[in-house]
Amino acid sequence: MSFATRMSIPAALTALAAPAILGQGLPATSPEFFESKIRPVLANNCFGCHTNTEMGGLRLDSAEALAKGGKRGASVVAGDPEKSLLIQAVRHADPGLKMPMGNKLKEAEINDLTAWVKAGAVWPAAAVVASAKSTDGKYVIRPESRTFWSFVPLKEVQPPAVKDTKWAKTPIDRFILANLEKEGLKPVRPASKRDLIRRASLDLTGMPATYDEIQAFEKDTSPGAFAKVVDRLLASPHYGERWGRSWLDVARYGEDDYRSLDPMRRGHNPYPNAYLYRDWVIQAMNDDMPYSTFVKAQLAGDLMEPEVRHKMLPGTGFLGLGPWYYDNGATEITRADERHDRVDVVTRGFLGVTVACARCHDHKYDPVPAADYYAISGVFANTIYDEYPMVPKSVVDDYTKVEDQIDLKQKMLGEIQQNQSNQLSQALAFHTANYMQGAWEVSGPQKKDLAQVVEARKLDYELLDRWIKYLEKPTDKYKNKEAWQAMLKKGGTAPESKRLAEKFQDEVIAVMLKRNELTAENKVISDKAMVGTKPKKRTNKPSNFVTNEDFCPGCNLRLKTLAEDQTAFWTEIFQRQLGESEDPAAMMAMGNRFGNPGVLMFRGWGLESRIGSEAQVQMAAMRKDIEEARKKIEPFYPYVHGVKDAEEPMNIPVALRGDPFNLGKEEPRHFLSVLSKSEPAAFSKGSGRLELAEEILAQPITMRVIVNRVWKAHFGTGLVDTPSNFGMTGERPTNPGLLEYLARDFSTSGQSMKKLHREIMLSAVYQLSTDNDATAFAKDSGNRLYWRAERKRMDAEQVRDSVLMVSGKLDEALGGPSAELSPSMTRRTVYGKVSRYKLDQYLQLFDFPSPNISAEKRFVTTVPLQRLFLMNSDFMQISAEELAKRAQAGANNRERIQKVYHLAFGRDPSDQEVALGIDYLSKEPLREYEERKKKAEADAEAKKSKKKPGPPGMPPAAVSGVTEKPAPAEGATEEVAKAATPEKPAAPEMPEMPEMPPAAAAEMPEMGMGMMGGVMPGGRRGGADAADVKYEATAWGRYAKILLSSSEFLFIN
Amino acid sequence: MRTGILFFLALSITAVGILSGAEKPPKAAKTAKLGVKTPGVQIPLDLLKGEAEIPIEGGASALVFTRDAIFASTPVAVARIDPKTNKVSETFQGFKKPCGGMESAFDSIWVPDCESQMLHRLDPKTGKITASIGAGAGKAHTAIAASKDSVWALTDDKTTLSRVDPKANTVVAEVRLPAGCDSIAFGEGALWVTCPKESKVLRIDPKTNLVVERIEVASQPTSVDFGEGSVWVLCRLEGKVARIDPKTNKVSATIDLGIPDAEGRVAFGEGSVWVSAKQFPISRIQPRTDSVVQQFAGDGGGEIRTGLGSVWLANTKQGLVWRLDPKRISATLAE
Repeated sequence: MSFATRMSIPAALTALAAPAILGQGLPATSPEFFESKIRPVLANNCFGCHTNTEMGGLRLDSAEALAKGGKRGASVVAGDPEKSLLIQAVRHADPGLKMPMGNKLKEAEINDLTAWVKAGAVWPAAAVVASAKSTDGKYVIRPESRTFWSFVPLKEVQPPAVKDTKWAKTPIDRFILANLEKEGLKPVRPASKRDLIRRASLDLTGMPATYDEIQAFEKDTSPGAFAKVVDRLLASPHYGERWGRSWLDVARYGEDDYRSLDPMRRGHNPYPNAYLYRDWVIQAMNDDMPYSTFVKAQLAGDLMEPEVRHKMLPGTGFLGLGPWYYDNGATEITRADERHDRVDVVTRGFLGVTVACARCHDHKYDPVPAADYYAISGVFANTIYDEYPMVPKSVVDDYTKVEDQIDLKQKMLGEIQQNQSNQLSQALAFHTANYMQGAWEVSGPQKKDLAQVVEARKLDYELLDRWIKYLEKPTDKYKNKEAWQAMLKKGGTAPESKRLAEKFQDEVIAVMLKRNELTAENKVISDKAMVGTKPKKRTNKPSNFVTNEDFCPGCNLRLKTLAEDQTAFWTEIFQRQLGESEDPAAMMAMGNRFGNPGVLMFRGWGLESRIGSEAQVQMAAMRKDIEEARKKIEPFYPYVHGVKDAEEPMNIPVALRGDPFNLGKEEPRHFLSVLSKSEPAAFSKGSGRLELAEEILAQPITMRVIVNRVWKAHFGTGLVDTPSNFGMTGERPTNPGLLEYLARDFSTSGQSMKKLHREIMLSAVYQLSTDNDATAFAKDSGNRLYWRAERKRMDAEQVRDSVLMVSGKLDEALGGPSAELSPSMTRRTVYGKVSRYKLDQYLQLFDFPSPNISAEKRFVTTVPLQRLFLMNSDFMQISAEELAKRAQAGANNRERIQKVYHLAFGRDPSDQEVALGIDYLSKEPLREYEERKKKAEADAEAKKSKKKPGPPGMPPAAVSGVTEKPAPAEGATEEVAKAATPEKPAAPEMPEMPEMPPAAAAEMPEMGMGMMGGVMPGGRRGGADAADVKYEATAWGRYAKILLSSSEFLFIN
Repeated sequence: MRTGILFFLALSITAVGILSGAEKPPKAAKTAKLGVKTPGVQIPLDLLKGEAEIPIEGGASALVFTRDAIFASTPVAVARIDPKTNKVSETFQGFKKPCGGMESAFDSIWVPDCESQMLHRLDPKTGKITASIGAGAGKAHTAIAASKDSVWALTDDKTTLSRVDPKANTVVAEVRLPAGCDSIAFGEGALWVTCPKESKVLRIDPKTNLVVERIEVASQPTSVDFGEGSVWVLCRLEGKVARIDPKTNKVSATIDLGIPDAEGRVAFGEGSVWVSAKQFPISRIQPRTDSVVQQFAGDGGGEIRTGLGSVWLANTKQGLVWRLDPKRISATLAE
């Protein structure tokens, strides 16, 4: 079992063990017992049917409801489990009353319930399930709902008294120690100075401390030595990169969405300036922007005071960067889904309340009626996408002017082409009979040569070919071709073919004329219906349209059409070939959205070559004009992807059962009822975004949520380990006093994140070692009481950034557009592209969260591919070689090994480690030499016997194309060095790379292999560029890679 | 800090009349050990005769030009100098603490104000402030420059570069630069910013607002100007001027002034590059040869600019602005 695997086991057990530990020894009358033992059982097994749904007339969400019971009577008789129906039901004592349905509780859970009923079924006042409906069906927020622990005002809490008065350094420690002492536990010893500074550095900047920094800290014996370190790290611009990224998880930051896959076949169009929001977040962290401003700017930066508005606009990327969806279906559903995302990210992200659960019905657990969901959703219905140029208006005007001209010319060109195409096809319709007779001469019994027929009848070669294919193709969509095909089947004669061809031509002309007539009539209908309608300009911007009518004016009109079979007939002649299925998705999948052209339909060069030289010259001139204008246009200017208020804000109705086409009562825009002192007042300023932001910031829960996020990021687990859910189904704080203390302190002292970090990090509990303690582990294996520091594995960013840093290749430049993560990209990972539709594979591998939804935490997985990445990826190979290079100035291998240890681990190697290193470096090149020699011999042998040499034994690097040239070990003679590099050993045939399956290939092409080059099947095809792999793999590089892949490097003590 | 004090001490002992044109016996340069050693380059400042000496109350920290006037920022106001009379014709109030230079562009004088944290826009004809933009103001030496469509200013001490739309009088973009960058200039379609802590000059593309090049120069670049198709950068620590070719974004020449810790300014105009530094108020560089051709040694030094056919040198401490004829400067040779 690897170290990493061993590490994951305690973590995995945490969630299971924590409640059990915390509930042990609690009296059954205590609120803690109820919260840890009873409520979870009721919530997980009973509330689904016995709250608002009231199945069997029974609710189980309050003491009153329990006593009242359902159709069978009181469910609980306080003090008497034997008479309590609830207990009988869970025991399955009565065959007619077995609960939960189809399941049975665990024995321990039944015992807890029994003990609780026996102790009087005490239901703590603040724990009432907070929702209820009045008799008239109106949702009522009960007063006790507002007293739920996370909703109540912040209290001033004094740090508790503790027995061990020496250990605690700060008030935080007294809260922690009091809990530990209550459980009879003690904190472990403090961390070593090296561990502490490494931890602090990785925590605050995402990169390890250097050897010199560690040395300086170890030598600094002043009492404020660690405070100096913390202050230095907080002042580093890399702090913002680390903690900005942590917020970006919550903000579900992405630089594209599915909408970016342009349906108009313009490829992948991510938001080009998404990085402005990312940079703003990083800067806000570095500037220690007060949290209230940080929140307000993201929700309503465009509505803030004029003096600061320009600074806050990039913050609106929180909403402006989507995700947005296509405008190609039912626009109402699209917009509703977008609003849902906003409601979710805002309420979970800032408030820790799962309001989005109330889209289709009242929230099942929290006091959030569906009406509240639509009140908040209404705010976002009036919040539309907008772009804020970051250049003067004159630049925008100049650009827009040229762009409009290009659009206009393009449109004119399109119209001319369309007209030309129509004219051509209509003219060709009158030659139908001639072509059909020609077709009969080729396909009929005469079997004439196509070219001869073209010549003899003065036909267009391509058009005749089209007619032949068209006439042969069977169809059941119309009958016009049947007679012809019957004739063709039996052979037919020239007169017969002439007669049928002339008849068919008449039909073609008839359907063409009829269609022209209908088009004219429909234009009149449409013009009448659309009086006063000014269609919105189609842009590539999201959220332009609110309804389908808005999106496609007139599309819902009942226009006149040909009969179904004649429509199909007309379409195949004048527009496009009909496929088996007319499903647009299927057409797109075929790779040709518009299908193959109809028989008489010509586009592009096919059209131009048939319309005469004068028209050709005219169109060529127009195209040239457009091209010239395109060349002159300045590059597209930078702009913020933000939002703005709708011009005429309006409320939206409640969508019954979440269906945007089944609408109920209109709901005014307002804040959540349960968090308002009384009936919430309707928002009155624009969309209400600014008011929403202000309401959010006035909530104590907002402060609790953010301090808990910071705490969790430092300690691995939160005081509430459901950081985005502080509601009924969320966890209760393991140390309520501490959470209260931190939240109040944060809210009353400038809402400074840096101050909060400082306070947390200067506590004794932060500075604990990761040592184990058997007693403490037995009681609290999940370390929810914080008796030690959690050993953590580096996350995706820490791994990559730390490797780059120690290899000396890290580009420390701040901000700017994102780049594809790849071995040649040496900027910090936070500057890598974050795609919502195709997340980078390296990021996925190391548990980066999906940017499609607000992420409350990062999960830690341990999978074999991670190890393969560390072993085989180009990135690791290159970085390790670079690290090795940094040590080569040493006088001998001992010194070089020491230098590599300094760089990688920030410490001196032990004698044993030096010996191991020297041993490896002396044996590895020779071992490799032997392997290569054997392989070369085997290959030569295989060639002789004409057997294809197989891949076994081929080092992975060689397979992926990396030049393998082991460096000579120290003291190795030139002969050995020369021999170690085989003299072109009969050019061993490279094993064929496995072909990538089509589906996988379709996913890859634009993204390349990036960081996964060298790991994934397909080598570095289309991935890392040549510059990435220009290095020679050396024994020293492999040695450095071993160190970089070690637990000591990848874990944080 | 210590350097600054020394600098001002040096200025304070400057004789007011040095450049007044009065015939006085030339003083021996006190700084013979410093400066360019090429024979004939170092010239005692006393030998140089000025065209005019204009007293400015409180001294001028920045100078800019319109077609018919010179504007000097003082600690609390902006003074308008009539080039015909070489006298202050008007002093415009309404400022609290002008700082970080000035810029003349878009028919206006742009004045950052460190106390009110505003960027004021002054009508040069009426002397009225026509707009005050809440952009902020930093303590950079030359914190303001103009491109063809924007005014750019370093607007706080975190080195935020703000882009102002002169038509709308609003900040349209902010770019955060590395801490401590302190001088900006516009040329060759790009904005050039000196960043002393990193010993780099940043090239910013106004089309994208992005730093597109980070060009390493000699230590502590503190002042920048553009001229003769090149970017000229005064690098303080070793007293060198770096010449950057904007086509290659590389340093094409480094010219040694021989003045370590050259606190001062660089300016281009009248066919030469001019550097004003402590103890050497005027060093003239010939762009054709990339060499210092004249170096006037003596007390003084401060803001140096060219405009209206003259070289203008401010002595803040003395509260004077000297007007010099560049031809006379060229003709003033070492004894």
